[in-house]
Amino acid sequence: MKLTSKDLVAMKLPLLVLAISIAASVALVRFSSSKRQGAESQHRLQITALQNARSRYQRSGEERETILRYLPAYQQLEKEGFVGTEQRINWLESLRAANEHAALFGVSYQLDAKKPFPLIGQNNSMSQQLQHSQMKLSFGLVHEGDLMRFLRVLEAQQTTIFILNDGPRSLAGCR
Amino acid sequence: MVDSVDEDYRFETLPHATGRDRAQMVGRKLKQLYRGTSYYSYSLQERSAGKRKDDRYLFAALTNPELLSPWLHAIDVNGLPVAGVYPLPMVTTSLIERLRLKHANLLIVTKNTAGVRQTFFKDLKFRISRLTPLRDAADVADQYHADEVSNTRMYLDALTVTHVDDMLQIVILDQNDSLAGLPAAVARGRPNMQCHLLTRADIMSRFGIAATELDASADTLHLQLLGEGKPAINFAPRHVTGGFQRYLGRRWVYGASAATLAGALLWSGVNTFEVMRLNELTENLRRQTQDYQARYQQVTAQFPQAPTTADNLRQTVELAEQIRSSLRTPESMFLVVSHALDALPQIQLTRIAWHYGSLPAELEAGRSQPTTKGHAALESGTRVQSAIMRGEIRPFNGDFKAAMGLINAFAAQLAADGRVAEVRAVRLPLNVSSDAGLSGSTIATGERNSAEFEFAIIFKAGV
Repeated sequence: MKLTSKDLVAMKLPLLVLAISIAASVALVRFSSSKRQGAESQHRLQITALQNARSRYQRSGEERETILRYLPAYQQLEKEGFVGTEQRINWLESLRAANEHAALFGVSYQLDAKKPFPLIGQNNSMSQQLQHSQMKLSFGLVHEGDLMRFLRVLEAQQTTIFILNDGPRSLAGCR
Repeated sequence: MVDSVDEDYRFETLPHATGRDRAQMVGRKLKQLYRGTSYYSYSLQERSAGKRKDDRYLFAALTNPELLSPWLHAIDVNGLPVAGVYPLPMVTTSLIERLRLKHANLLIVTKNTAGVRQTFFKDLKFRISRLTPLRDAADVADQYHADEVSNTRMYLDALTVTHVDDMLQIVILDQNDSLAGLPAAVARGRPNMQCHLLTRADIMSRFGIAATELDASADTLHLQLLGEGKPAINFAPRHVTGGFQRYLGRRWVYGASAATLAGALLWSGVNTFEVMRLNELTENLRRQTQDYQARYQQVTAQFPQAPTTADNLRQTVELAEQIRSSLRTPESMFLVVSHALDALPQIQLTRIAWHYGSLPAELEAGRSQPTTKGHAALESGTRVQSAIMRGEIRPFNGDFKAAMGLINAFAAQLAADGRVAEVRAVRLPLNVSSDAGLSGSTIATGERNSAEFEFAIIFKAGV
């Protein structure tokens, strides 16, 4: 069937109405759908919040036990500087004291800037905030036992928590 | 609706065809039959019972198109659409269904504006129709119409459409109760004709037409029937119904617009209802959450003051313990090496470098090489103790075989310790591998006073 200009003129207004109707319908459906999605999202969030609140309340006894159990150790860690800002002056003081106790001939140190510590506690959410500073120590030894004595003194001072990565670079003439 | 004597009905049998072929064939036939008019149409009646199974068509036309011109002009001037031009006998066909008529030879007689119309149906299918003018005087008119019915019967017999002995059932639709005497007049005429008169009251009750509407026109019943269904024959050519097609198109588009909007409103209504329901549920959940939070606040008010949450306290302490427990010193490595050296005094230690952490790349790369002890693959990131130890055999008199024996014994001594996972020779005094070249002099051996070697010692994970 061929459309004539008369047909097109006659269909002008209806097609315009149809276009407006479609546009209005799409806008209406999209608006209401977005509102519904928002409400569904809010509902899901509120369910999660309720579950958390309920679980938190139900575990409040356990939480109290946890605080009582771990608070002293946590406070000790704060004193040692494991929690909070680094206490580098205390570290240097510990080095000086360990040097004296181990009767070494002086310890040279080189301390790097703080950076994230990725290797330990990957299953622990607090490990995300864990940072460390790498320190290189250089000192002479008469006997390898001096090294052990120096490390034991350093650990006993509890200035901070440390891990050794690399040992003596040169140890000659020892048996 | 056209009710005129200027009409023609004829039956033709054509070969069976469908689709475009049928349209072209029938179109040619119509043009051939009705050259002087464009108001014609056809209807497929049945398929013949013969072998060819030909199609039997009813062709119909308004033979005097000028009859319609003033009417169509008036309609066009008023901008009204023409849906079709339908012959009154075709409208009458719908009475069969409405009145549930089952007669094999049926003649329907109606009194319309143009006259008395007799439409004959054979086996409930249209065959012929006649229009005769009205007579004013009632007593004369009944006999006149009865004679016309008799003439029709004679004509049918002559055509052998009916047999003389066949009973012709005549249904008379008397819209204004003016044909009350017709059944008796017909009965007086000739036998084998039985009349059934539907009076004005019958028509009103059976068709639900008000008296005022019946009074308005003698064609009211047929107009009502036309409004209820579309007849099979429509005389109107395309150029006449163009306006109606546009009207239908506009109506369809408006309908589609309304349906679209209605669908969207329904959808939005469902969404809005769902939003209201969810909001109510969310509000209930919020109240419950606030209740739990308030109860939690009451309970935690009695807790000892803590700088952070209980979970953070626990995780921080556990992390610190984990780090403390991972502290390793070179002492174990020194003990293992010292123990091996004590067993073999000919071997002197010249250098040892200890490392704790992931295995260094150079040691990891060589792990496929043969070792003194079987080992399991380390997981990525596992921290282990390892050392590169350099030593020499002193004094060395150039006897490489004896030196290699001592070195192997030293390696075995190291590997015997339960903490050691692997001892690997990194460098030996003499490379006796068949994969590398070797050169030297038996004279020169006396000049060397030591045989140097280098071992990599790897501890088991967790030691």
